[in-house]
Amino acid sequence: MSGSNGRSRSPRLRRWRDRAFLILCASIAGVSMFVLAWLIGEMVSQGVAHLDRDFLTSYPSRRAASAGFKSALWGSVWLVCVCAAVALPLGVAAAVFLEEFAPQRRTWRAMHSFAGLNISNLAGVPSIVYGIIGLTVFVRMFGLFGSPNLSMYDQWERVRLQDGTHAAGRLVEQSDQSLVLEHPRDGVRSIVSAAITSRDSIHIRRHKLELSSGRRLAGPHIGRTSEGLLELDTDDRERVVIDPAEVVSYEYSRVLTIGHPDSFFYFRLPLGGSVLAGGLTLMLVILPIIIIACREALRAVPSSLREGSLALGATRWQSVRRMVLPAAIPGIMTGCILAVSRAIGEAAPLLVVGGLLVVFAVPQNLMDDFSAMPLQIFNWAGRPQEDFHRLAASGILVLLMVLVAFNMLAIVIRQWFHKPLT
Amino acid sequence: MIHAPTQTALANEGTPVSRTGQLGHAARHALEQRGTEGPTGVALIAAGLSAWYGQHQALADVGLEVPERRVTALIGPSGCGKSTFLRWVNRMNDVVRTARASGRLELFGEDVLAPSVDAVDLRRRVGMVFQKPNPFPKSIFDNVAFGPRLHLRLRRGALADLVEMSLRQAALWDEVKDRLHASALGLSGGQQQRLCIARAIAVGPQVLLMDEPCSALDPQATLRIEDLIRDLRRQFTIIIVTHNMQQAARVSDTVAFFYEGRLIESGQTVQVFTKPSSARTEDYITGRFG
Repeated sequence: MSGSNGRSRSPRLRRWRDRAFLILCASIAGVSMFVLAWLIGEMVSQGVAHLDRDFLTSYPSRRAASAGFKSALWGSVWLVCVCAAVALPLGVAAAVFLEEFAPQRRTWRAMHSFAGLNISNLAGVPSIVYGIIGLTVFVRMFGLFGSPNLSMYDQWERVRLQDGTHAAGRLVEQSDQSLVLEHPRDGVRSIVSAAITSRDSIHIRRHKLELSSGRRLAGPHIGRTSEGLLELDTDDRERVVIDPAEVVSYEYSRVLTIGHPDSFFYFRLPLGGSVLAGGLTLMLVILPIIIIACREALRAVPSSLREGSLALGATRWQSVRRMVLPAAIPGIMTGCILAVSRAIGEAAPLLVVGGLLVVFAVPQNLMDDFSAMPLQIFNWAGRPQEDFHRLAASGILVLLMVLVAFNMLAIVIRQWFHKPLT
Repeated sequence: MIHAPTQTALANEGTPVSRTGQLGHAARHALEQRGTEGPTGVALIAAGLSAWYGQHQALADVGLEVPERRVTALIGPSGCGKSTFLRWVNRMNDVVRTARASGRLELFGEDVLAPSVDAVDLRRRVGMVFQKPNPFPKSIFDNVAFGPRLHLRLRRGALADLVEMSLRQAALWDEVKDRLHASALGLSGGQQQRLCIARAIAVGPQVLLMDEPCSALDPQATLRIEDLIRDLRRQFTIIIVTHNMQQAARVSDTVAFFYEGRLIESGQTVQVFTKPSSARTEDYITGRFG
């Protein structure tokens, strides 16, 4: 008996409880470790057979024996490059703004902290939601630039001739010496191919006609009937037949593209289910994570350093640029690498953006279709044949190795670049 | 470490030793030495200066003149507004959201509280040394070069000269000249604080603010900083906040005693320490409270 507050606790009971709690914790940790080890063991035993050089250098195939991971691996590389190139500068800039440039005025401050709070919430949003956002914003671009599906548009040839003029139209006939183009106003034109200096293919989004009766018509397709009349599918999905003589003016708007689909800088709007759209969607997924990690890293820089730099007459930007960012770089890099490794493992948003394509090529430009490691694994795992399940296990092993490499890199950076700040 | 008093200072008219008895021998000598110099111009005038942090009033109607190229010590118990005063002189309080001030604070005739004054430009003219040494996690050289690089485009040689000069002025050159590119964090506390002083000097300020620069240092390092302060007063107007009465007596030419946000008394250090006009000042100086 001790003190005024009644019975003392039995030391034996306390020691027993202490030990019981320890055992509880250890067993919970042990169970999760065991499950993890078992999963990895299962993957290795299933996947290691396929895991060879051929697996990494061949494209997917209908036959499991010759199927490989190449397009998925390179698709992931492209996606991560796009994603990191956009997410890192944006995320670091946003974190610097939120952490270092808190506004003074009350209303602005409220908005500032509201934004900060919401970014924390965004980090918890399921990634499929970002997939839907990516689909609307990047793939379809709100329908502002027409459909991402080019095959629904008329495809025209456009040539530049030696005398400096252009000609455009549907390609009717092509031979070594000449090509025949059909244009709603010019009619059918035959061009000697020797006169052509450059040639490219364009997609027509909308044909706009004004008739001598004053009537205006517009629609996505135009063609010619066997009698030589124009045939327009209008925006209202009607088919109107027009005598070419009635057409007063004709204009078309094309799908916005830069470069040829085979060139490395090919670009078009809307982005469609392209590598660029996929990478930007992954960027949405990891941006909040990057911002939060960077804010933590910036917060870890002691304010005495900021004050010291301000007291020397540094502006806020100089202070951030020369003092705060260099001091926070190890933390920022660690956070960014972990965020990017999250992007590598994401499947859901890519599924929404790009669909579950079987891609037999490595992307050549930002507009190409893509596959990705998690998508290919998902594809294989969903097939009925046992052989493909083993392929999926091999893919998982590759993915895990990449992720472990990224995490190791993060640890190395944290250890090597970490320096005391005070 | 304390300079021996000169003959003229010793021969100076008799200061009542009884009052300064608690200050110790060295401090007393230093005190007596001080009264011999003529007046200088005025660097800083505070008139009706009040300051708040949110609802809390930290300074109330402070009027103070700080002489040019002299050391002015701000003394008083914790929370009396000394540091607040200091942080308004270079507008460091701009960083504190809730801080505001009214009244006038004229630095060489210019009101630093005016909204038209660019705080960034002001801080270039008013250097500051903090309580805890805060060297940047960079090399010694880069620490001193940090300020000049913000404001000037110097050629390499000119920058190196400026760094050397600043380190010499801060009495640190001989200790660090062989390891300029080693991390500043490897220096001892006292060296770090002298590095911070060198860093502040390198920008070429007119005024140096020191917020308890020795409170985190051992006595040996403190004495070195005090020597340095006495050397620097030839070039800079120095305002130092200190809790250490002996330090105030040792280094300062004028003293301002703050109590609960008000300026109770200010004047020549000799005057304030030997014949304080306020009973409260006397109580504080002699250690009866605070």
